[in-house]
Amino acid sequence: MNSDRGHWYLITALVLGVGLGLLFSWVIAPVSLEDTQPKNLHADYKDLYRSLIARAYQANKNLQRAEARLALLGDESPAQALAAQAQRSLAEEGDQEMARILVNLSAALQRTPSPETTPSPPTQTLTPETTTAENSTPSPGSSSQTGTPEESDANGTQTEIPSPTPTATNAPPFVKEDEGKLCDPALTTPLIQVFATNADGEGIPGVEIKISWPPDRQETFFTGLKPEVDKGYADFEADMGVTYTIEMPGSGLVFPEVVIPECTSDDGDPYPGSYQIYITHPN
Amino acid sequence: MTRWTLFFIVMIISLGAGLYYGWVINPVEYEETSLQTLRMDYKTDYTLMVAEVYKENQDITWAMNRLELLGFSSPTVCLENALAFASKAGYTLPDLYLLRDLKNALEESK
Repeated sequence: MNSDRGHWYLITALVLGVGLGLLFSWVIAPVSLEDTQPKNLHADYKDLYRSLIARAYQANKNLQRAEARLALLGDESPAQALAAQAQRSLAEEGDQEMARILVNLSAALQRTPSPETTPSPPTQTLTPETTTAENSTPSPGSSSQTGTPEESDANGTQTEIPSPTPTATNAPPFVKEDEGKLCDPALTTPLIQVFATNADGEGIPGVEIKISWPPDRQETFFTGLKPEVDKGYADFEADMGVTYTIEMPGSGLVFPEVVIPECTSDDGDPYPGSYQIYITHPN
Repeated sequence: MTRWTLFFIVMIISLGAGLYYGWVINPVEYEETSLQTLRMDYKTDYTLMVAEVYKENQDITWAMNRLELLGFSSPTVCLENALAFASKAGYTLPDLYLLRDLKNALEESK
């Protein structure tokens, strides 16, 4: 090589080396399609994984463990992801029991104040895995490491954390607070809206609502599926000219004649309104 | 040191740097994966969830269907692997018992 060419040959070697290295590590021999994480799962498998987490929560009532497991799926808002999956299940007329289980966990998460720190898996690793945050193993069995949400007794076994979570089916005895027609041109779809609150006026998620209409149609929906509106909010897309019956199972509260009203805009044009129901738990 | 020697030294070092970046710092991330490709610790936690639910519903067919998704040759093999990993990783006794009980139930159901 000619010395007049300066140090360009070093830059050429650098670019060539890095380029070959990346070509080999990203294209020719990338890391194996094994050892993947739940957050990389296909959406269908994520749904399945989420369902299993909710079922496991239903069985063990360990909310912190469920939170840690949900965190592995990488959802921005696990509570909303659960609610959305429940909605999809109901919309597709899928397993209503599964939808209820998903809603129960979503409601439990919404009732629990969010921790300031990102939830970690139930335990830190005892395995010789790599140590980045993403690679921390989700072994929920061991609880002796720091940062675990579960306590250990002297024998190293877990102390079950009591769940603060009532289920949707054990609905408290709600009473009617108010009901009425709503004319809001901003609502493009006629809705039956239900707001469930406690004595302090806070929304209660997970309240089961049954709606039936002639001849013999019936559906179930839950509060808390749209936390962006309110934790205790639920709605149902209704049709004009149909008389609906709304029932809160377990509390004996029935609204027998719910009808979407016809409203009139400022221009005199008719449009379908909505119907609002406010229920509260007086205790 | 000749220029060729220096050229190859720099290239080898930068090749190593490129490989380190591509394999360790910023490896290829697979999307849309299945349960079969999950790392063993996640598979073990999945198996534990199935065991937790099984304890409640005692539905061995449901449990087998869920375990088969992990891609082991059989649900029993899945439980054996999970138990081995859980023991090594220091899972607590109640969780190990859950896994063991499910494994026993699978063997009895054969």
